[in-house]
Amino acid sequence: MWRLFRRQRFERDMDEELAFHLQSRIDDHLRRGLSRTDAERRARLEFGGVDKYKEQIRDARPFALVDDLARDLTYAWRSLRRTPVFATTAIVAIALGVAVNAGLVTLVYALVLRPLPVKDPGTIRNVFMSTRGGGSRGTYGTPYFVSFAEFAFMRSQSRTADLAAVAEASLSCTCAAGGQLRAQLVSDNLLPLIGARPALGRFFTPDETKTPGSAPLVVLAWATWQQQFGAAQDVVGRTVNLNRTPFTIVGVADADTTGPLITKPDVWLPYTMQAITRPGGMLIDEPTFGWIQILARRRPGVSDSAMRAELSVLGQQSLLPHNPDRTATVTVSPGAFLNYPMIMQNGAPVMAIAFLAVSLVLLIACANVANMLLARGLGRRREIAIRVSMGAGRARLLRQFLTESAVIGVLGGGVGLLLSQGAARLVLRAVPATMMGGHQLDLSPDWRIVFYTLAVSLATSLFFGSVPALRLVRSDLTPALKAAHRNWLLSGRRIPLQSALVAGQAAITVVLLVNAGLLVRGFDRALRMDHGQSARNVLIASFNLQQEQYSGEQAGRFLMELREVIAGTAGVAGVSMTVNDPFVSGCGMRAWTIGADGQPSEPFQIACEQAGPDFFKTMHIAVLRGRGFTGDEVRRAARVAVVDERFARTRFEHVDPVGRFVRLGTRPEDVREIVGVAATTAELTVDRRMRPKVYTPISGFLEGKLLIAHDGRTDAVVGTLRARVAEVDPNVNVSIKSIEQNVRFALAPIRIAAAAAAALGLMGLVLACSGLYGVVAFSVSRRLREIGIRVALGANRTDLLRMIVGQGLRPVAAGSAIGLLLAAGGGHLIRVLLFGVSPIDPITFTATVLALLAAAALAAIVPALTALRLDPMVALRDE
Amino acid sequence: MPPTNDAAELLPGTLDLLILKAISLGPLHGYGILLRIEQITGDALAIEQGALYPALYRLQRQRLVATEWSTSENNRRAKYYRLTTAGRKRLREETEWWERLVAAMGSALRAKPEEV
Repeated sequence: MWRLFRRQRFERDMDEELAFHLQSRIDDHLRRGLSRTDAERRARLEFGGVDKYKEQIRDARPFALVDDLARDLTYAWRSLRRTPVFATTAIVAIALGVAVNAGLVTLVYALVLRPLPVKDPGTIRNVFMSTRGGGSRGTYGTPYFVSFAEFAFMRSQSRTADLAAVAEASLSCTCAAGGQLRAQLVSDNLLPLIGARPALGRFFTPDETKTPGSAPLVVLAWATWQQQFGAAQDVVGRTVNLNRTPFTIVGVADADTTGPLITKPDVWLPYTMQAITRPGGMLIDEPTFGWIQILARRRPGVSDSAMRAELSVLGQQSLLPHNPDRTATVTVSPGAFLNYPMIMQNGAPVMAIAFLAVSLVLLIACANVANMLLARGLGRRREIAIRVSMGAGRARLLRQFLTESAVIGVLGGGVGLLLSQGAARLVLRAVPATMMGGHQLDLSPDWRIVFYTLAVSLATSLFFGSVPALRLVRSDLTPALKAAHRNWLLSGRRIPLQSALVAGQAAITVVLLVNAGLLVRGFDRALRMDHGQSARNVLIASFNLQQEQYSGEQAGRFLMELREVIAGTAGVAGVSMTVNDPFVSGCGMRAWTIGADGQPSEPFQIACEQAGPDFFKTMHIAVLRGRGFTGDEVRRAARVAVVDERFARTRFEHVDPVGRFVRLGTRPEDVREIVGVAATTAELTVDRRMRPKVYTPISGFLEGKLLIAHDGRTDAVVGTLRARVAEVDPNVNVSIKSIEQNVRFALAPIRIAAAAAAALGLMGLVLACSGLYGVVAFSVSRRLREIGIRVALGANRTDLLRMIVGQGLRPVAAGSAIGLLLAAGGGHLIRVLLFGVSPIDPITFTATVLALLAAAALAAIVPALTALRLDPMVALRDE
Repeated sequence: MPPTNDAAELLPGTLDLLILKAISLGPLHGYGILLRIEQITGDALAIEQGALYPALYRLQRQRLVATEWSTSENNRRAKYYRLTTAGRKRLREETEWWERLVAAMGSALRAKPEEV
């Protein structure tokens, strides 16, 4: 309002000042005796173009920039409103491109960058320690966890930060609906450190987290209190059984506290109660076994580097008593969910590929918008030419075009931001619940995401807007003023920029589609390939024997007895046991072969697998030489082993390994006699490494799973199994899944990648085709007169159609050729996901190009047909 | 009025300096400035009269001149320009710069072969 007033006043003053000048000049001329007509003409001639100078004055006045911006914005808004189809198409294109880009960034941000959902997250740090060197060391979880002793030492010594401990465990509880609770084992200071307050009762005291096993206390999460305990006010002091151990409820945390890890816990326990989560307290008493994650609150006035320096020293010192030969590497990073150094390193290339893919879609979208802007600008050449001749500076015009692009960019970015939310949630939903169940990822955009999205959309729209804008403003505009030259395209002159943009879109689309095709074929190959073992008709039953405080011996008896009962059930082809979840989890260790002279070889990495009786028969793994394990060997933990064919080939070459020895550890009793050679089995996980494999008779019964091969009639098997378990021990929980589920789980990453790539590729295809449609429609509309003349002169409509479509397809064909070359490179990047499908698979490449050309032909034919259907006389008269 | 052979074209920046000089003797309106410039340059410099105004607005934005509306000698409302302190300082600096330049160019062009 004020600006408008100021602007009007400025114009009035300017007009008055210039009028005064002219009038004074006329008066002077009249005084010198000129006639009024002559005086006026002379004065005007001397002054020069009034409008031109007015425009210059406007540019020179104070506040010019702000006022011009406001005016440009209004102008851009109006001109977009006048062409709603163009505006909508452009905004949607940008929105789609931005959405996939921002969606990916949102996901990555939520996983590895977003500050933790705790109080004052700015000073919260994740402290990771990895160790290298000699001496034995074990970790449970990531290799960045520390042992109880190491944590206690570092916490007591640190002056730069307050260190707190957290670890995850799963517990059985009769109190829970599903019988299972997610627990966080914490030091006394963890909850206060993240800003939690007790809603009822209290948290743990330092004394309660000092001595292992001394304080069976539990703090409930708000949701657990509400859902499992009906929000009872007298819940504090009650006793619940966790893993068959009575615990006293001491408090309830406030509703905002969801813990510092990606999964929300149901309860918190003192970390000194770790023993009940695993029998025998094997982790907490083991000074070289890492299982604790350190969460730190940096103290005021301390820098990250000071903190890192101190903790590096303390970490090294903490190793001295029990791991003196190992070197510690301490990493201090701003608190976030999954920012383990290994994830950041291994994830970076994956993210780079994904980011490349989404950026390509954005690029296609931008090329689309650039093309539309160009076509629109060419349609406005007359308007532009008139404005230039009226004194509008070219810089001024350029600014106006760019303002229009910026408006499209901001609107597209805004819509894209909304869409990106949906895209990120869609991807997250595709992840199997067993991988990411109960997560507390926050995908809502914070200011960083909003800033990023708007910056990307603004930057791309400005860049891609400047290409056509510069071209239009620079070009010679005089022909546009002459009506006779309105058909400046009549000569069939092509617009190289438009064609280049279409070719670029085609190339990128080919890259995306080819890679999507390769992934789909890889997925298909992984499903259908010979795994060397059963990938169907096997049930996997697991039990919570650990939580029920079974001893290893009891668990062994339980499983062996169950196995015999099931083996007699109708429809069962074989029953065995294992520890690894087939296709999903694995085991690795170092091994030595013992030579004929009794000397051990150099150590090498192997995959390990624990097998029960009938394992190879149950899993359909061919035994090529020797035999599998007998029930007796399993029962007495015989020192025998079966190796796979890869092991035999790489370690023994042509010698028969049966009867030879392998050592799986450093002690003399770790030496095992090889009794058989089994066929090599396939791995499905993305990080699969082709290591030789050694099977040993199952000993880890507590984590044992029953494998049941069946002929499809699973009802009887499941019924018998559940009934039998309930008979033996009604407290034992049995969960049954099919091996097909495991295959799907293992292939989830490639399935998600294939689906995402396919979605991106289709998006690219639609954008590229709509772009091509626009270009052909535009060029046809400019050539209506030429087409009319040709038709009037008796040209064959089919020939004309072929000509128009052919011209439209030429850049697509050229772009496809470039795209194929790039795609061949792209295929190599995702090779690990292809399961042996060639990265330059000819079927995929041919099918993709044919599909693109067909879609492009369709996009070109529609506007061409529309043009040809017109009465030629109409087209001619229109001129 | 396009520049002719006997009217020298303006060097960039000279118009601003001429305007500052013209109003250094007292406030003038736009037309008055034009007449003063024509007078002090003896019509040797030719500009389109309209070009005066963008220059005036530029100087105003740089706060080298100040303006106020007042009544002209023939009783019409006119906008008067006068020098600000910054404008006076700029005029002094530019004048010195020109004088040095002119002196240097003059002696350079008068130099005889043996002096080079």
